[in-house]
Amino acid sequence: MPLTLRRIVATAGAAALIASAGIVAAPSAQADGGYYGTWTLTTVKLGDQKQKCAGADDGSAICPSGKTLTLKSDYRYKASAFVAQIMFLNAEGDGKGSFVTAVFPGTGDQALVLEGDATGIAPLGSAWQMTLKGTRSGSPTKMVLTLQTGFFEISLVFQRDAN
Amino acid sequence: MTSTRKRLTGAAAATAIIAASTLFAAPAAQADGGYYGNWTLTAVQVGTMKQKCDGPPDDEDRCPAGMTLNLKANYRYASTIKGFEILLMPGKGDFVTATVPGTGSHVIVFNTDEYPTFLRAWKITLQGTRYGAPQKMVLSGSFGENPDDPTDDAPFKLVFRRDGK
Repeated sequence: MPLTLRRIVATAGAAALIASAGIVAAPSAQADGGYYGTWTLTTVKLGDQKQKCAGADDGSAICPSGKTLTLKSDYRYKASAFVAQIMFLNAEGDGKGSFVTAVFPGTGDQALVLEGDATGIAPLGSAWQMTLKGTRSGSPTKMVLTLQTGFFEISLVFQRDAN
Repeated sequence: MTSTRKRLTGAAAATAIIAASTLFAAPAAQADGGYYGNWTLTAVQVGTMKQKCDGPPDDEDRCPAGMTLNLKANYRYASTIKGFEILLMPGKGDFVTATVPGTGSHVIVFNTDEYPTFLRAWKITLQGTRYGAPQKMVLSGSFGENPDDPTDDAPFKLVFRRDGK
């Protein structure tokens, strides 16, 4: 398990954090590209445990502030190293690459799929369930990415960057 | 068994939760649903190491024969594949396919019924035709880089052939 994730898991209580919760994305968000933009990681959830991302960015914080995921309209993504490490569940997360979204026909759940420039498609870590919430001038202001790793469910809560 | 597979299956066994799409086909295959059908796992490849799936049932050291992945036209799947629970959980669920803009990679995403957020993405390649239907399907993926063991970075492939039945 990568160091970043290991630290977060350890903090949250590790093995007891196995839970599953469905997240249903709004199909309309997919249609209008409401996920485009720069998103700042605000919270990491492991089961019912929450870790706010408000710490210093000097390596001492479990979850530092100001870490972002940018989803561009040309279907390219860029992630802070910290975010990439968590999303790809390894110590060498791919910070740049391409992405696509898809909606499961049967459930309507929306998936965000990242294809890293260096690592490509990772069976575990490339696909996350995506939920967009809130509106401000028609654009969602909150994005939640959730994944059941097989050991625990992790949710990454993002807020749309105001800039 | 490779260290990657050992690591994954060992970890899976250690946790009780493993009890129990976007699939990217070639554009033409995606368009006509060439991936639909029952597929039998014939080989597992990790880097240059390839293991044929012709072993007896429940043999932990070999890949058993007869494990299948059924992709239905209603975007439901059923898998009997065991040994890679972290990467593809046996059982039933939904799938969807998509093509990544820019790279053209065809991807399939599985979502198991048992855990609603157990999403797993694979790159999909369809090969061969018989009456227009692909006869071989390869699901491939990367584990990224493992700084503790660079030999563990090899791409992972599941090779299927279309069930003749």
